[in-house]
Amino acid sequence: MSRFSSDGMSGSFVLSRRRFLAATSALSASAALAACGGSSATDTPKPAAGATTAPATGASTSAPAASSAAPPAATTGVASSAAGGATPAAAAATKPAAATGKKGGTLIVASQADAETLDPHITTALRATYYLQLLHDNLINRDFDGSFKPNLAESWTVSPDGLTYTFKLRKDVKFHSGKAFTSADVKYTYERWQKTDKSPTSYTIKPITSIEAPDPQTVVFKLDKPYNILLDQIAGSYGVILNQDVVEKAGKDYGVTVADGTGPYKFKEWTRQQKFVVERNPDYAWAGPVFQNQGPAYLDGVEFRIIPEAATLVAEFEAGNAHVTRDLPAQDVERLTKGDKVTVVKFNQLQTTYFGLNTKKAPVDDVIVRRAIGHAINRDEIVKGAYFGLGQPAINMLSEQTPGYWPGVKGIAATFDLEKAKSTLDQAGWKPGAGGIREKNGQQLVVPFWYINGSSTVLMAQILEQQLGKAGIKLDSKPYEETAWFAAARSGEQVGYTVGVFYENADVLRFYFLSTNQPAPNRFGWNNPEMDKQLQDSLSNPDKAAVLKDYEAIQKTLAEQAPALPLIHEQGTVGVNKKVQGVKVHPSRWLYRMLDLSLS
Amino acid sequence: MRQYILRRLLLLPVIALGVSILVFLVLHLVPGNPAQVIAGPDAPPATVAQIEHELGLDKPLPEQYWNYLNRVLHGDLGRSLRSKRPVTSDIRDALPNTLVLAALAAAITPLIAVPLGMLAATRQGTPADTIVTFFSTIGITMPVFAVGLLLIFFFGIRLGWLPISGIGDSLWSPDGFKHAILPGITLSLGSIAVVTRLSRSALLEVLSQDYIRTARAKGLKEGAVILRHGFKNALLPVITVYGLQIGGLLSGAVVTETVFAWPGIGRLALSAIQGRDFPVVQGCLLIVAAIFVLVNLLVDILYALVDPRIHYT
Amino acid sequence: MSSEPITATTAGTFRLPHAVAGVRAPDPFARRFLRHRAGVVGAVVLLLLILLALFAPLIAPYSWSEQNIAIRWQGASRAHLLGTDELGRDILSRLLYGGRYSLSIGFGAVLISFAVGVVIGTISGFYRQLDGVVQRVVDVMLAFPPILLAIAIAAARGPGFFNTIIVIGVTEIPGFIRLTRSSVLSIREREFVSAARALGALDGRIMSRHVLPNMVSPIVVFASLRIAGALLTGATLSFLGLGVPPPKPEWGAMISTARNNLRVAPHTFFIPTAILFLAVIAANLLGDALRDTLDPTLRD
Repeated sequence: MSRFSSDGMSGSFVLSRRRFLAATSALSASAALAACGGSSATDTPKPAAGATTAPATGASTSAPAASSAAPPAATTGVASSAAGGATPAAAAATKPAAATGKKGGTLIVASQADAETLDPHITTALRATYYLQLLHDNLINRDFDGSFKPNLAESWTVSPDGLTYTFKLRKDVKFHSGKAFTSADVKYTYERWQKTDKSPTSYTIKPITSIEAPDPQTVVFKLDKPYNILLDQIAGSYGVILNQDVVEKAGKDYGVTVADGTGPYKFKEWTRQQKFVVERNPDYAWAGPVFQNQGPAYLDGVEFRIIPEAATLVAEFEAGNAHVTRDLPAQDVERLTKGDKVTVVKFNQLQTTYFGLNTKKAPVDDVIVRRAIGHAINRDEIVKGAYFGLGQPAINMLSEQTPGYWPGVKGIAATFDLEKAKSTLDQAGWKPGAGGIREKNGQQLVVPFWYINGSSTVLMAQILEQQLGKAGIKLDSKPYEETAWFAAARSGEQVGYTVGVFYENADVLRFYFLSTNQPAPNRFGWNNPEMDKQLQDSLSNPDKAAVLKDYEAIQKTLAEQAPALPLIHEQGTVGVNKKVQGVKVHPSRWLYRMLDLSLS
Repeated sequence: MRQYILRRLLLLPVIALGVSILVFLVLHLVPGNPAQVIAGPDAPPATVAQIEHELGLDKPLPEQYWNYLNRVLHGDLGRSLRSKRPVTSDIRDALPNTLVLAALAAAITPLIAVPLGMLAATRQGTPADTIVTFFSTIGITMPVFAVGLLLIFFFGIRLGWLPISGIGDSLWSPDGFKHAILPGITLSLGSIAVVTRLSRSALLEVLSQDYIRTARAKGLKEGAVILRHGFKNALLPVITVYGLQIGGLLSGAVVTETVFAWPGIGRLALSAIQGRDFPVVQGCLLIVAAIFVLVNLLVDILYALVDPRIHYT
Repeated sequence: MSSEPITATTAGTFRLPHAVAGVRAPDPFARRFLRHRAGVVGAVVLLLLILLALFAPLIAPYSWSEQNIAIRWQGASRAHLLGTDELGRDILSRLLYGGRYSLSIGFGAVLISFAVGVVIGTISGFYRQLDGVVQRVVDVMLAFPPILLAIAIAAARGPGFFNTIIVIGVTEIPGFIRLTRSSVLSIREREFVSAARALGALDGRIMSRHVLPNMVSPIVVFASLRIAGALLTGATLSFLGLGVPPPKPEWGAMISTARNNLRVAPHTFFIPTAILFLAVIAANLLGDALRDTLDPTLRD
């Protein structure tokens, strides 16, 4: 999927945590839709920014709930700050203007899953983006508020017709291998991305028709038609800059045993399913305005330890053997919050977990049935029961903080109203039958429900089964491992299913509901020519107001027709040992380049 | 005897062929198409079809098998669909960890089991015997994952004595050894229990034999009787069962490695199965089967050499 | 492979044929069995668990599926004797109903492997032409650690109650084939079989009249021991998310879910683990006792 644009980002730095959260929500503009798989079952990746699909490993069996993976939405948590988004004040500590961290120490990150490769052009895994952003830089960075800031490019301009993007590059940048960074590397990297065989993300930069490097410090991207989300791709996790010489020399081994970048950390060691280790790049000095510390990093290095079993992971974290983790089981969060050695930072993320319905399959081809299901679902109970309170009940595919979010959905979407669910089904001819399951023309009202096995999804399926049962709808739930789910859910045989998606802008709607995106990610069998037009228009129309109108119309239709019933916007958590200073969670990049982190 | 061993050896290629067919078929039995895994979950059907073609998945099965066999015989297990890494590298990383863990478990087993079995047998009917028998029954009965989680809960969390995940700094370091303790115990518990029970009953049986009575009648001290005559003669069946347990350790390794984040071949196989990384699944199954078959063969041959009571058809 | 009845069990036990130790009085089976105290305990416990599962609807204080999040993770109380789980369901009621699934898996899987294994093993032992092929297939199946084989098949078939029974059943078949075949091999050489053949009896009749009845003991003993193994394998598959999916209160599935709550509500983990343990140990004790009484040639 791809993302949207760079427009709409307003945003400002915020110092206090409370204000910071508020601000992010208000503004975070576009960005890539990040989808991710993983424990809590999220949709696939691809996007520019934080996207990704979590690696299959381990995740399916245990998977912590909220942890699912994926871009968080910012928070600052300082060592001393109390956990929980609720707390106000504390966080200020994170951004003291001239703060410098203590030098030294290796940060241990406990992670439930490993990445698959370090080649940014063939991965879609969230875990890979965490590694990539330590090793590499982008031309521009996405700030915590969603706006774009210089990184390797000192400045950039976009032509008024939106067809030419010109970047002026820094002169003082070196790769880890020692080579000086020039425009040739940028040209090479983006052309490689476009040409890489089977790259799952190359379509996101397809509108680029040519890339020119007129001098070593200038790069020009040319497009054949306006593309509102190009900067999102360039600032995205897969848009990092590679070293042409090293990539060409390594061939097939690039990203497997070899990786070179200009980032704050150098690739040191990677034993699959065991640990990924990077060490400080002592020459680093080009972080850009997103970070306090321009470089080099305070930490000597960072080590990701892979621990697939959630119970083991949380035990290691509590014992102080890991400093940071984003994979805390939801049920442990409250308990850990009370500890004196660790804290839990919660943050809102642009994320939606929804109940998808294939509008081509009976009985959910009937909008009355789809809406009745929506009325039967008590979302508060799901948030509490399956996610242990970590999330907001959802009725819109876009969370409130998403630019383009339309509040009018509230009066239209099918929200919890059991009596209404029953009465509309009665009127539609679905009469209670054997075992309390409704019937019509000899057909029972049974809705198959496919989900990716994870600790929260498994609870959610059970809760939904009970809730729909009360309305006389039988939910026939079936767990899948992640890869198997993605294969099954594009077969056309799917009826009801659930998955979560991370995004950074409203372009997630195009990702899901464009008719040509069938069989996947448009698993809804959704085919609406008018909506197709609106979706296409949102991508290339330079008029922001018109784009917002498009989004409003789309959200209205979706709320009425209910091909997807949003369930929850999951909240993210980061477990932080109190030794760690300077923690600030990026909405879509997690700990980003780890420049401001230090160990006391 | 020589004929028996020869026959077993001659059968090896046949078994290997069968194993390779079964392993190859895994790819076609398990839902989730390799081309789909490569293309990503949202790829258009045309892309998937194209990758299928490139991988030769659209060819007839026998031809695909032939190609597969050819590659395997040339030592090429393919590349992981996900990491794009040669499967042989994955296995090279993982296998030593499993072998070390299994070796540790194999070493612990007789050290604990045989003395316990002797203790129980020589004190038959006493509380000591009851306790040993009770715990060995528990050892056989407890699911490996429950043992692992309980050890983590008590030794890792409550007491905080031992590390509970990974292999530490390196396998061959004091830190690595500390990391290996809990998974080692978890893995060996089942075989300790079995070998304990067996050494107890084997020793009991021997002690009821005439020559023991003779030895006792000669006035030898009880300790000498047991060590010199009883123990020696009870050893054969113990060694055999012990050998068979070693093969069983590979089974236990799958679960143990998952619980303790031990980066071995069992975990590699499990995560590859879950992620539908078919070349890795096939590679792991092949290697594990090869080890399993060879270990069992070795044990059978040893058994045949040692125990003249068994005759072979 | 040799024809010795060495049989591997997933619990990791291996049974060897042995010289008979001591001479036993030719008591009737029942009296001999009753003298085996541990065996009696095992049988009683297992029977009790079966009865509890069968009569769960009469005994269970609550529905096994009724959720109430407001009372999640409660400890033991008068209202909920064993407390409640993460969705506020009564653990006691779930355990009672769960026995239906777990015990069915244990017995069902063994029944399948028993039926298939005995038929194939008998044929294999009887017709030497087929024997080679059958034994090579068995060799190949035995070339994989049983749990890995079970995981691979379970991943292929997907989770589910019946699938779990089938998966475990399949992995248990080779053991039954081996045992049956070796029994047949030894029996068919005995005089009464030759006599029957000399009298012109057909193969089918010889098999059903003479061979099968004579190998009942070792196979029943083996089957009873495998029930414990099947229970364990079922729980392990559930632990890995490949067994019976929730909300079905299969014991392994309950344990698997509860391990995420080990820190907040340890009892939700320990109680089902204890019950599973009880069932496995009872099945083991019963098997041991049957072995001692029915088939004194098999000892450990």
